[in-house]
Amino acid sequence: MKKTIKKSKKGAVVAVMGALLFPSFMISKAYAIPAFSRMYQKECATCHTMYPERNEYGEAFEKNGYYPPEGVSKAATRTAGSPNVIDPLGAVGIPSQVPVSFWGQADITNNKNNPAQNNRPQLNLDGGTSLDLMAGGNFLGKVGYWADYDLAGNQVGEVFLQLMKPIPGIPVNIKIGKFEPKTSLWKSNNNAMIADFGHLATNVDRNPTTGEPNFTLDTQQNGVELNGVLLPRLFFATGITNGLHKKTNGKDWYGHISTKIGGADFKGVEPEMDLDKTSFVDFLSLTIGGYGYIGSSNDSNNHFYRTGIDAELNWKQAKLKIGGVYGHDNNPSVVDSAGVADPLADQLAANSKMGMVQGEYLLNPSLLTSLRYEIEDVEHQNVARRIIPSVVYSPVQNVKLILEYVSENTSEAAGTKIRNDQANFRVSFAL
Amino acid sequence: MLGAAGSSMAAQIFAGSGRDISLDASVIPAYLKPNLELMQKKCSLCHGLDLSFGSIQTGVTPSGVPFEKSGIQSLGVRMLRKPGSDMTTAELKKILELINWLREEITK
Repeated sequence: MKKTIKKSKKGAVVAVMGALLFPSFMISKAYAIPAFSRMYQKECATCHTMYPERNEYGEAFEKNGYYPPEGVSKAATRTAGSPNVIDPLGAVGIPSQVPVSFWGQADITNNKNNPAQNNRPQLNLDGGTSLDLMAGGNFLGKVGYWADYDLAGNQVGEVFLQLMKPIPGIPVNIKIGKFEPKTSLWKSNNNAMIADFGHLATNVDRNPTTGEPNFTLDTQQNGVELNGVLLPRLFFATGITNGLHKKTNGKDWYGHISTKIGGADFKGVEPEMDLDKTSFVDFLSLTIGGYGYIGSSNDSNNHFYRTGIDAELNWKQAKLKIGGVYGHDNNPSVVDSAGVADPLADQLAANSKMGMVQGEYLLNPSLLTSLRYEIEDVEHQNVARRIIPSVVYSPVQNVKLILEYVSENTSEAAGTKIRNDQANFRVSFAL
Repeated sequence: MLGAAGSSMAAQIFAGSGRDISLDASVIPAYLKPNLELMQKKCSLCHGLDLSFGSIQTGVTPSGVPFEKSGIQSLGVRMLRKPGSDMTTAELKKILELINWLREEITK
């Protein structure tokens, strides 16, 4: 999926591509679904600060294969007469309600000074519309599942099964199917804003025919992943994928490890707290993650790696996210949207550095403010810097109104600077 | 799981079940009335009170997790630490006091 401004040495190309791709900031896949609310009789706020951004419990729920980490007592639930959809039909684990959800979004954009539009304001009431169909859950606590489909784009999204600790005594799950490889702490859209994390969508190598990225960290791929909570505060994931745009049988490899200090652990267990004597530390948590990805693209002619580190600091209503990625491509194809190779940058080995800092503050359960700074620096190509303030209003937990401003400055290797500003407004609902 | 006596007491304190459950505030002792008001105000910021009442009534959360004394404080701490809960430690203690009293009454 495209998420960021593309890079080129040619101003015109940048402008055209900016015009083409700025709206792609609006597109986001969904990971929070009301099917879970129906299944477990929980509010959205159980797992989300503001959907789809997960809170600590939501993280533990996801790591546990979309199953309550504290477990489920089916016998007790049946006795209580709860409208329990965990109660399966027989031993096959088919839920008594089909766990399907919809996610609809519509955008209005106002591009203030896109060079491709003669620097005139462009108010677009049709900034993009999407409707996703999603299903997810867990069969009997043994197999997690997820499937989503983009109805507007007619595209299959993530479709996978996750076998939960299939080998007794070993806390390792096996995920098989199509999914976003676990690298960063966050999926690219795991925030309540409109813009996905650009530092996870940076591309260096492009498809010579389409101009599309040959690889970004957040691309969904088919593969096999092992993951698990090894210790209550230690999570790992590693996997292989087919990779993207290959002509050989070589596979891509990735690995992730993260740990957490303070707060609930990765199993959702709350810390001991003396209610008669609390301190600010009781509300503080720090999660740190590191990852690496090694692969090839450009018809297997470009061999590359990415390595990154993330940190997330939480204190009461405040959250700080910091992420950085360093990469190297030894033979990327650098082309414009028409598929024309850039003679100055094409086929040159390139180092790349991407970074992000995002601060959030939840004013109340219905109102979230955030500010993000992103930088993408690709050798021989250009440097893009973005400042993205946003306000998210959620009148009810499954409805959001988002106002966001994206100010991007692109500095080309030749010295030219291009500015592109865009205001975005989104309405979003899940049901 | 409730015994016969517990079921009877639960029926006196709560009417209905599921989304339609309601609590008979007249059974709450005077010293806990402010706690009930606090619970109604704070808990409803994030979820319906039917979830709280249902868990107290049945001894299990809607997803089937046991809702007993050891787990109630842990759940309370989660709510306290949840961003936007707008709840202080002192307020949580008052709410826990009420919940534990209700659970004890029901299981007598």
